[in-house]
Amino acid sequence: MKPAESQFENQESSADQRAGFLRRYVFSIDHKVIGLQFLFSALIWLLVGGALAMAIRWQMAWPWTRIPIIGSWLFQSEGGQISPEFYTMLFTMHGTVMIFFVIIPLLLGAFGNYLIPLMIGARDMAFPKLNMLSYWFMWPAFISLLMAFFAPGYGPGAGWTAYPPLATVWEASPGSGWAQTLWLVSLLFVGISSILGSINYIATILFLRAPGLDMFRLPMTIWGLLITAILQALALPVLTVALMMQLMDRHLGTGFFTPDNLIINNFETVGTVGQPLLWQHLFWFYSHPAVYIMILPIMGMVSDILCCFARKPLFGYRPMVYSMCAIAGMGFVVWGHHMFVSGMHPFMGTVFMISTMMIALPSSVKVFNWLATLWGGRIHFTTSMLFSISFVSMFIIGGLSGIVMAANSIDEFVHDTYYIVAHFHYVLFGGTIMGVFAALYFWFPKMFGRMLNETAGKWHFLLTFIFLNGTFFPMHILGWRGFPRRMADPYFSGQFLDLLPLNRMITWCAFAMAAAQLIFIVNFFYSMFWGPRAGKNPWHANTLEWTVSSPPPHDNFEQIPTITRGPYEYSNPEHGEDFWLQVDEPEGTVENGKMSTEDVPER
Amino acid sequence: MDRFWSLLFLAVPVLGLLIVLGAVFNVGLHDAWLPESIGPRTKGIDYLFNLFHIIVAVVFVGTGLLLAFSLFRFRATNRKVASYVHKSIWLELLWTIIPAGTLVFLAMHQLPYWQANKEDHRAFEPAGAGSSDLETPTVRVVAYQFGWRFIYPGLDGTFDTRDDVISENLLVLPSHQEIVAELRSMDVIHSFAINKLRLKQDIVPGLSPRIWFMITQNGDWEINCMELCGWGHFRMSARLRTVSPNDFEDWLMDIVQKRGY
Ligand code: HEM
Ligand SMILES: [Cu+2]
Ligand SMILES: [Cu+2]
Repeated sequence: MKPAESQFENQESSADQRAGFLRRYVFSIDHKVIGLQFLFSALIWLLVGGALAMAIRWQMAWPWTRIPIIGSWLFQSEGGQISPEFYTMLFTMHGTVMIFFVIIPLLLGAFGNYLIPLMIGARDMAFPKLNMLSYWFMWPAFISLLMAFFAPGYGPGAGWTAYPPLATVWEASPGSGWAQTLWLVSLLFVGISSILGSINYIATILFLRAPGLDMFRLPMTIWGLLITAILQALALPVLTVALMMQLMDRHLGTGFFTPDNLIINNFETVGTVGQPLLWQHLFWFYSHPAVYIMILPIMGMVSDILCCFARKPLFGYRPMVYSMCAIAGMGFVVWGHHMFVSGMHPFMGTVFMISTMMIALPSSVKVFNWLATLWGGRIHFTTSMLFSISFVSMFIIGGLSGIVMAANSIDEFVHDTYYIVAHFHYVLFGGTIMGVFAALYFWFPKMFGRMLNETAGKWHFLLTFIFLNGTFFPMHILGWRGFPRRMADPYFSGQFLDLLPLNRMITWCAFAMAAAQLIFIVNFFYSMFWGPRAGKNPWHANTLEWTVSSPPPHDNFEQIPTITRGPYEYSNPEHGEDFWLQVDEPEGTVENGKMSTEDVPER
Repeated sequence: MDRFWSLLFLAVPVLGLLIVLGAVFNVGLHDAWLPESIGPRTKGIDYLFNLFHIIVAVVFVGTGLLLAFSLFRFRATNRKVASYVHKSIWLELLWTIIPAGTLVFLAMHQLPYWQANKEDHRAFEPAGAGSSDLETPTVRVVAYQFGWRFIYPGLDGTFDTRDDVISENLLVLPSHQEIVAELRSMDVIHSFAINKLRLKQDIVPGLSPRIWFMITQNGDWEINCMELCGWGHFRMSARLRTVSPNDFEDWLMDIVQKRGY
């Protein structure tokens, strides 16, 4: 960086700082602020999604009974109980909120934004304005979905998968009406936001890396985010187009997905020659890669955290990178495993069975490399580490049930049962959400300059871990019995009544798990203001974000660093300490992680 | 404290295995494994189900124990320094080739079962695809929001004639005979599922998939819709009654005669 240039940049940034509250915290183009905006929005939606889940669990345990206390004002007309229409809204919204408003914004919006420039030694994203837009495009999405909650009727009710004709023909679910349209609009905006974000991430990672940071010196977090961004950029346009087609089906009578001569609720479809299976193909062509979008970044972050607290280099860096690439690439040719019983030609079922079996391979390679990373380490059981280890442990379960369902003969039996629910909650809650907690405990000090309380953190971990398994493990049993998902009253036919006690147990565990999150919320806000100061590098980690103050200054780096080694030089015998930063700092300024006063951020 | 955490992660494979074993062998957990079977169709599927779970359980317990052991053995309070190891080509090869072999085996091994259940049958070719030599199905199933209509061809053996027999939400079938059913939907997607046959077929409107199965017991069973089809999805179940072939003829004749054709 030429001195003149940096002079100029500093001027601009101080202008930015003078620009007042609105510029700095609302319409900011600073990646860190945008990251935190995503973080807080997503955490609030996490509460909403969690509340919806509790209502679902209530209905599974005590169907058609009054919800104590809140029931009477929530459902006045139904006498304080959940109606079947309302139940379809519950699981539709739960899935939508958790996937599109919580996990994806958390991983890419929050951690992606916050970490990418810091970890690659850049001052900001390649396109800061685009970045700001990607956050602000979430707001129309938020608002549409909120409106869908409160639109006349009961809300969208076609599941997060929105299969037509149920989702496209108004008469098919009377009471969804405009809410279903708003749902589509909402997802369109999420899609636009994510496309903008992903282009930005790709450009930033490819072009703004600090000198010396070649691709194979990138931390796994960045690899995960890069590959995820590429996945998004390739898969999302397909979803966007498909959503547009549904919108047109609903409002312009195009009938892309609606066959002729159906009689739906006394309404006859005429003159449309659409094909409902087309939607399923388009939807899963996006949504299968999307499940990897929801886990690859966390795989990266967990890899980094495991190394840091095992004080040991990542085992098999290149195999880890290649297996991520393999997962991403193969992720585009397995979507049909969601459609084994849909009526597509059985031969396609065979093809997708084989590709799905094969995609378990890179996942298992990753698991073994994580295990090997821990082997021979010097393991510190910090809260962040505990959550990371539980990621590995839980992901194993979810991956293994994936293999079982990949066998299409078996899937014919377990499809649309709780076995599926168990599978994706093990990967998405046991995996991704536990990983998100790991990442939060790990990077919170960087974000807010203060440490989270470890004792509270460990209680939070312990209770979450126990009740997570109490909630989701028994769902396998439900699945083995064929217990159906997405049913307001699965006991209706009398067939599954014997599973009621198990369902009650699950619900108690779910309530307890939700309650345990209070510990986290209190810890989070208390520590943000009153936690002990973190210093630059509280965990003695290697990557670049730990070389700047916590929280980092506006432009991150006073001087763009020059990278001299890879991110995993832990316990290198050639070095005096058990960590070795990626940059060589001038003699005498090596941060030892002790609390020091000169780290106090200049605000 | 470090030991406590290793034990916690040890609990995952141990308790997990105990629960699965309890379910399979009916100790402690009753009726927690596969539902009873009422036809030969389940044989292959149940075999695969058990086989896959055995293999998966071995991996689950193996990796779980390994994880717990390394946590215990390499806890910071027990070690001075971590070893500085980056990679091992041999290990990578080992844990690529063995899982790959297992997965290829599993894929190839289960292929014939899918083929037997889905492809190798004269009834497969979808109706209306110009295949006039298809046999007439025993019954045509029409799903609608939120119920089932079962149509039998009647005495003349052809559908869409005046003597078709219609039964609402009750499917009567002869046992010990192979049944071919044609599935149709009037409105949205439904799914025809008989849990105790491990049978499930979505019914996309516009397509008319065929299924075939045999039930070897007489009795009453449940048919469920297993694809979300609207607010009343949960109550979309029907009764399946299997009777001896003679009783089935009688039942059909009874209805036909009552109507006076
Ligand atoms: C080892 C790799 C995996 C395999 C072989 C696998 C296989 C499958 C299969 C066959 C299904 C379809 C089941 C059905 O509907 O009948 C499925 C569903 C699902 N999987 Fe996976 N999976 C794997 C990993 C993952 C991961 C990593 C995630 C997410 C992070 C994930 C998320 C999901 C979700 C959300 C569904 C259900 C979608 C729905 O119907 O609502 N899976 N998986
Ligand atoms: Cu998938
Ligand atoms: Cu249904």
